[in-house]
Amino acid sequence: MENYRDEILRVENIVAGYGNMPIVRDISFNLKKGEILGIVGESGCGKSTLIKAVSRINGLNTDILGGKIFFEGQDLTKISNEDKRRLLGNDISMIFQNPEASLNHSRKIGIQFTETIRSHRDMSKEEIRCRIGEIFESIGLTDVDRILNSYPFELSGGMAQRVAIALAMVLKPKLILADEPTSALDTTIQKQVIDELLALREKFNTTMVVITHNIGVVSKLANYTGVMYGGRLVEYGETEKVLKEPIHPYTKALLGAVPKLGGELPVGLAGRPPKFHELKDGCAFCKRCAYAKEECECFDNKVTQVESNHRVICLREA
Amino acid sequence: MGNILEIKNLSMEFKKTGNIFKAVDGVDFELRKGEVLGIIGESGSGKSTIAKLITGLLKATEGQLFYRGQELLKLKGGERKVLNQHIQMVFQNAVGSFNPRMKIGKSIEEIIQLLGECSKDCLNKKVEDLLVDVGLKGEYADKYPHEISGGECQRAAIARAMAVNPQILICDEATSALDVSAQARIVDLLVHLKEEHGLSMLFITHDLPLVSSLTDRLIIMSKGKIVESGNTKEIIENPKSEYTKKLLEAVL
Ligand SMILES: Nc1ncnc2c1ncn2[C@@H]1O[C@H](COP(=O)(O)OP(=O)(O)OP(=O)(O)O)[C@@H](O)[C@H]1O
Ligand code: SF4
Ligand SMILES: [Mg+2]
Repeated sequence: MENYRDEILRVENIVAGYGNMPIVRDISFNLKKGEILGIVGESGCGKSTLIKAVSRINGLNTDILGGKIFFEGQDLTKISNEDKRRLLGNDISMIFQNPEASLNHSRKIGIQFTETIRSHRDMSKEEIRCRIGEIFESIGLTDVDRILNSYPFELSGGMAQRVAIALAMVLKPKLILADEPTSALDTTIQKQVIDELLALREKFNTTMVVITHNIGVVSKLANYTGVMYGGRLVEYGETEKVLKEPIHPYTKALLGAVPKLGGELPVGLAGRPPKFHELKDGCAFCKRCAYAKEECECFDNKVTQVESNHRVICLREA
Repeated sequence: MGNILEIKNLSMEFKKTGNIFKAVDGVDFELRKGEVLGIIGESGSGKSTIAKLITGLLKATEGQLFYRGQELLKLKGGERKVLNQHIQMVFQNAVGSFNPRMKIGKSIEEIIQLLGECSKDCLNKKVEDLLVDVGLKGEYADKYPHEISGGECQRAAIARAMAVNPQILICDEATSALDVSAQARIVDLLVHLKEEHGLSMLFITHDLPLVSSLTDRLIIMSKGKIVESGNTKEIIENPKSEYTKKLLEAVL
């Protein structure tokens, strides 16, 4: 029997979208404490929508159309507003694609930290300053006082993003949901932030769901990798397996678009992901897939378990 | 190849509660006509500040900027405005660069109108052409920025930049927020636009693998200064400065 004791996040057949339009379709996964899931896929495949759905607590504008999301056994799709406030920032925190989305642009950084901390913890000024100093240092932010005394727009993009990351980590949450957390950062800082996220996991057993288009980030950070297409998790498995022995035609094509140092210009996939309102039955990838057959157009998107922890949605494997 | 842009001893200081912080510190370089020049460097090293100085979003504390031999910083408001249209910029945060309450088409129209009066039909036609040119459908004119995905929005931002027929396109982390496939396709679009319109490009990014395949020459910055510059291939194969070596090692 499986051991559910360490399980912290369980997503069951979630369907979510905007209004009545489903974007995220029938997605399931579960994470134990300290596990990191990386999610990759092209723009508009529904990655952000998935994360918005999981982070119900944030009042973000997604509608859950079906399925369940359990955080420490509590169903987030049925949670009260009061519980949302308690969880957000304290147990679950978010890092967004742009620092603008995480930081209040009209308030100084220092005040934003103090407010976040004070709303969940009873800490003195000195303790707060000390905690901030620790976190800043660990992600390479040296000028602590200048930063705390600045407005977000007075910082460079990379600095602002690191500040946003620090703000998400300051309360040492159990679950971090991150949407493109390192896109604004240069490679050295990106590495530093990843090392720090890994250290956070090491020290506090933090669980994370990280959306990124950077395959390098996934390979360094994630235990599991999920590949999204047309709102579905078309391939899911241990990172090592998914990146080294991809099975789904989409995963293979996506990996081919990754630029390599000193290499030729990378090749993007021709065409584009389907618009959700145009999505018909069958495999959403069939218009772009090199292996597409007629049957793919009426494929029921059944999940095939390839190995115990590796699954795909593709007719070729069904 | 002649130089379309020359930058001499450019500096930018920010004052902060009595302290002076030098974001750009005596930078010299040139952009040659028709080339793609990459600027790479750690965050806060002054890359975006340079871009903002070139486009006139910030005013340099020191130095000179020559666009086709004309010194930009000496120009009066009106003249500068005209030349500013020749230098367009696309940012990483494409969604944030659009007015959230304005449809994409309307945002592009406003830029077209900078070039002079234009009838409603002519405007619509131009917007559609621009959108199609960057690989979007004409119907995207009727969408709001938050209704489209990151990659689509970046295409719209490029369409908007192209609306005034620029000579120089500055891309500040323009592909950084995009998935690898969209990135490859935006890069392909940029290369296509460059060739079609004879653009010169300044490509600012932290993605070394990407610049290594895209750019002709490379500038590497650290703490407001240029630490290394030269032919991209040579730098990648044989980096001189310690900082460049460190950057190359951090590639995941
Ligand atoms: N607030 C919204 N209202 C209506 N439709 C939306 C909204 N936000 C996103 N969409 C649509 O949902 C689909 C999925 O978008 P989503 O932002 O989840 O993609 P993504 O995979 O995160 O893309 P990216 O990599 O560009 O961030 C897109 O078709 C998009 O146009
Ligand atoms: S189901 Fe068919 S079209 Fe879809 S990915 Fe598999 S082979 Fe390609
Ligand atoms: Mg997204």
